[in-house]
Order: sequence, then C-alpha cells, then structure tokens
Amino acid sequence: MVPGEDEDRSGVPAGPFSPKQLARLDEALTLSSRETGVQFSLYVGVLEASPRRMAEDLHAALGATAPDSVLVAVSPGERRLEIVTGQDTAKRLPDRTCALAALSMTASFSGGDLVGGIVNGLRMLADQAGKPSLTPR
Amino acid sequence: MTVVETLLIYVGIPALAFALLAVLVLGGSARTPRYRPGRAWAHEDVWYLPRPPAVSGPSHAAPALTGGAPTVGSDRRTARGGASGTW
Repeated sequence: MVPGEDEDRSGVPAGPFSPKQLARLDEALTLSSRETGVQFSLYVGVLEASPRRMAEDLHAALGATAPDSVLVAVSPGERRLEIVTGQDTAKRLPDRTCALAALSMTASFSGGDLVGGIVNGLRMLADQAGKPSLTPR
Repeated sequence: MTVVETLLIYVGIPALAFALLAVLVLGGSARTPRYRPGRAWAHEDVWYLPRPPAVSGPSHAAPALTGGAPTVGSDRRTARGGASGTW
C-alpha cells in the first residue's frame, strides 16, 4: 500500500477496489448466488507458490458450506486464476464449463479489466449452474 | 473593443473551458485504483461472500471464517473440480 493513498478514503473499507467497483462485485456475487442456490465466493490476493493447492485450501476453509460453494480465486500479481467447485457444485458446473468461464475472465484480465472479468465470469457460471433443484439431493 | 477585452474573450474563455474539462477528466480517474497487467499487486488479500438472503438478526449469520493463512496439508479436501487460468 502506497503511504497516503487511503488518507482521503478514510470512510471506505481498505482494499483494492473503489466503492463503485465493490458495489458491482457485491451485486454479481449476491445475484448469482441467489439465482442458483450456489454460494459463490471471491478471493482476490496472493496465491503463493502452488496456486491450485492454496485455492483448494481456501475452499476447504469455507467449512460446512464448502460442498455447495464455488470459489473464484484471482491473483492479479501472479496473473493466476483458480475456480474451485465443491462436491455438489461440481455436478452442476463441470470442469469444461469452469474452463470456459476462466477463459472469458482471463481475456478480460489481460486487458486490464479486473472487475468486468470477474462479473462476467460469475454471470457465466451462474447461467450454467441454472436454478436450484427442487428435488432433495 | 480594447485589447484587454479581446484577450479576455478570445483567450480567457477558451482557456477556462479547457481547464474545466481537464479537471473533470483527470480528477475523476485519479482516485480510482486501476489494475494494469504486469504491475505488482500491492493490495491486501480480500475474500468476499454473497450477502445472506434476508437480514433478520445475527442468529442467521454465517459462521465467521478464521483468518490468516489456511492450514496447508489439511486432510479434509472439499474441492472436486474447477479450472485454472493464466494471463
């Protein structure tokens, strides 16, 4: 963090995004989760030496909601994206679907559009996951 | 029209309009942090979860996640699939 950068943003929670960007991310996360019944969560930060392992550990840290969760982990510094599905969400979002969303997201990221890529990726994943099933699993 | 009036009208007003536009264009974008591929990412890690469907008291809140680095090598694996990407 650059010193003095957040002096004029004292009322805003610290983080990499502006309030407007945060509102877009919040809307995308909440709407896609509500439409599908899948809990989408978004991690933006360092993924260290083994990104896949770290993303799976983060997914495991979700605890009881992990089977119903999809973790989207973005590391802008390392230029790395990981999408992790759980036990139940893997049936609704096969790896091919996730790969397609990942491709769309990385295309946006390479153009410098971090928030737009995340929002579009979440929308693609939510569209593919569909409505929550009425029959008990 | 005196020389001063001519200067004010034909130089002063365009300069003022130019300055106003410059402030509007540059002032708005200077405060928004912007991601540029290849640059270092000097922000702290963040993790966002969707809002709960209805806010009806703290009893319905999701359990708090434990912060810090996750325990590497935990035997309980929850991941079943997904995808990776680089750019």
